[in-house]
Amino acid sequence: MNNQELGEIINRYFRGQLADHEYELLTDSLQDKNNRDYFETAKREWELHPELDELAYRNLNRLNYQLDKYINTHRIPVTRRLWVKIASVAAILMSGLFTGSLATYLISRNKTNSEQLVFETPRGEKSFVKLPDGSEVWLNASSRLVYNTFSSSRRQVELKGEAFFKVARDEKAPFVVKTNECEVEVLGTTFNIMAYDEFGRKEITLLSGKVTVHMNDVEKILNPGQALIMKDNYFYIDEVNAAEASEWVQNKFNFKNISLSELMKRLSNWYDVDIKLENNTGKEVSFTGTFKNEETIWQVLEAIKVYTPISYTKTDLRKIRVSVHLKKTN
Amino acid sequence: MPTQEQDKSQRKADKLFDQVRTGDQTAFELLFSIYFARLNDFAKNVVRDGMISQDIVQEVFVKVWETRTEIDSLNVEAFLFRLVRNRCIDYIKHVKVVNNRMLEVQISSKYEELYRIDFIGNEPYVLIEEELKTKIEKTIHSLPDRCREVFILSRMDGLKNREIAEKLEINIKNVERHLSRALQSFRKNFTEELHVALILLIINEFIK
Repeated sequence: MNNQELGEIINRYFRGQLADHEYELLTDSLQDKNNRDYFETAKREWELHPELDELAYRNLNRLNYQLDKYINTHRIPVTRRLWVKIASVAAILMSGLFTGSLATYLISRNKTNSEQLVFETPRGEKSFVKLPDGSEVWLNASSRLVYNTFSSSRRQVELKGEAFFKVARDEKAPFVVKTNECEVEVLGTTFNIMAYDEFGRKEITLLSGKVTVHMNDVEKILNPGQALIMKDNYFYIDEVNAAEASEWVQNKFNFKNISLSELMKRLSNWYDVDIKLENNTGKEVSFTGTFKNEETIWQVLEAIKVYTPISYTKTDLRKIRVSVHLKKTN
Repeated sequence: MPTQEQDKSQRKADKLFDQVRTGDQTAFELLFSIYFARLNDFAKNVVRDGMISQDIVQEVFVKVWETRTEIDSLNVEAFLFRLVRNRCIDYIKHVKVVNNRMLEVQISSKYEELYRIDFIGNEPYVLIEEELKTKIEKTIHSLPDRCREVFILSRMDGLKNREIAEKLEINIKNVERHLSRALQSFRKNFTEELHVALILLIINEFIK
């Protein structure tokens, strides 16, 4: 192994990215004193400039949330993902005490690699991001927000999943949220976007101000209290109770006329569980309801069971099988 | 003897930790950034679950922050590593109860050696596998003679209960009684909720 190869392996080691056979390879080569010195030099180098990949970054956010909670309550929350408890671990990442210093610190760190910043929430957690222009974004579970450096004439972010935006007003620089299907352009408003790829349905709900939604060649303007709902190849605008669309920020989950499969997908995200839905016949049943995150997944399933012929079993840690009982045809 | 290089790098972590002790969160973040990837990778190799390993490293860092003023370690790096290692062992002992995933447990020391060189240096260190094996040996040793004999025939030589009964010329019910007593002893000695099957798996490995 020459020095360059050694350097590369060591580097991957610090990043936690060694291939299986490389552990022994590196261990063996460290028996050599020169290699060992090289290792220690690389280690000091790394300690001065450690690099965070996406996983490390996400974990750092999670840690900050834990510390924040600890500092505010002087109590350590349960960190293990005990899955019945996960719903109460609603992570408001980088919030409160940390926003200022830590956000700046992280942003400057990541910029050295690229101009792009990625915020991501795993299932069962939420996060809060304050953007450099003062806009605030709450990210729902299993969502991803990407943004590039804002220019003076345009502020653009990309979204997968669901987020609630409070956009700081700036007449000169429109704020644009890109999703797979559309772009939402605003000057300064409050609105919610739900755009999970797997739901087959997207919703943009406006609470205040004004937004313009661009979809391929069509442009639609939304007024407060309106929601634009996209399904497959069509869309419509509905009058809604807009406040409900963002109540997930306060850990209150509202859903209206959604299919059983979508409900299960949402539950998966909120509770960080895998739900396997069996015998699902389709869309005859639609669900409307509200629950708070104090309920356990079992209580929620039990409630669903009252109205729907389903049964459920726990098949593994954080895994549930839900079966729909088909009506017997006489 | 630690080389000069090692001393320097330890000083870096220890210096950072001095700042952490005063409640400096930025220093704590830097500490996390330096060690997260390596510790997580180590834990992942031990517990064989990339989600659990993240939880373990999280817990360790939360714990370190929580008790930062009480921690009086001369070598913070080794201290962090030992915390992660011990949590991994706890997990291995604990989780197999939950969902019988003992087949996934193969404690390999090939990962550990690299980490030992990096984090522990020349301080004494016991491999995870060794720690578990020693405990198993002690437990077997503590069994009454007949009970041990039955246990070894059953779990190490792989004889069926009926075969053991014939070989030792005892009642098959007695074989079962001895086995159940041995397993109870294992449960007790592995104070956590170590699943018996896990121990047996390890025993099989260690007999080979």
